[in-house]
Amino acid sequence: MILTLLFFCISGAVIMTVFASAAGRMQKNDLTDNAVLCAQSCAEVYSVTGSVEEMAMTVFGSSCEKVESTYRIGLDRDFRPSDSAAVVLILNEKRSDGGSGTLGSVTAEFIHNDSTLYSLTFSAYIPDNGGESDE
Amino acid sequence: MKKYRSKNLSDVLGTAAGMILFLLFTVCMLVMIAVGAATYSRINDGFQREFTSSAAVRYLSNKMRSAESCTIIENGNGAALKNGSIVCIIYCGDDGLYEKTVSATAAVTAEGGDRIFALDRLNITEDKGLLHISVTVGEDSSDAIIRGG
Repeated sequence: MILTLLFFCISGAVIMTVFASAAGRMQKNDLTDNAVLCAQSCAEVYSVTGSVEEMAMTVFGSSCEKVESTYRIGLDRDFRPSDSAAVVLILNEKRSDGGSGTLGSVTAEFIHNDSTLYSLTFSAYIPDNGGESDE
Repeated sequence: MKKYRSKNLSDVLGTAAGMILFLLFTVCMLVMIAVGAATYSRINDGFQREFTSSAAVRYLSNKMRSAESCTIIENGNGAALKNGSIVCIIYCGDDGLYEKTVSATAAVTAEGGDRIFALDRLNITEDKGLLHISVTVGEDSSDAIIRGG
């Protein structure tokens, strides 16, 4: 009987592991889904403003930390700025001078638990009078 | 006699210990089943809410991008999307997102549409050429910003 009980205990532990894994995957999928929407919004705003600082202020309502050409902002699970960050958004901007304007290219990378959750590269051509985007 | 009594007692104790162990195991299994059912229910409900809110935001943003022009109606509770001679009116009504298509010459009213998503709240605002779309389903909300037409 002890062996039978041991067998059922091991089976139960496996089932609990499956449920815990499913719950973890669901949370990760929620974060990925929100990251995609957030990246899309960032791309749209950048195409209009041509500035990462303005984009961060419009999308998140706060400024982001800047280190050389890299910007960093901590977000909670609802993708709002937070000190206790569940997700970290890293924005890497590169600018190159075009014929009559500047081509800005931004790579947005969402980091969760030290792994990349989602990444998107978008760009905007910023002539003197406005901007057009190419995602 | 004494030996028989002590053997009988040890048998009884052994059986009782086995039964208690089995009972303990049964209780643990029942608790595990309850936890598993609660987890499944939570996953299912969360998935439904999250899917509905993000799908609604994507649907609205794709509709707005493909329209020639977009006019916010009902104080941000809806939008009229014009494409040629057709106007698609999307609005938030009784617990849902409704849509209807009318001629460009018809009156733009937020009623009489078909329900396409279950929603609690919709808010569309425009700022500096950008359209902010916010959708709320229960406790979950999804937001998106797109360029205005």
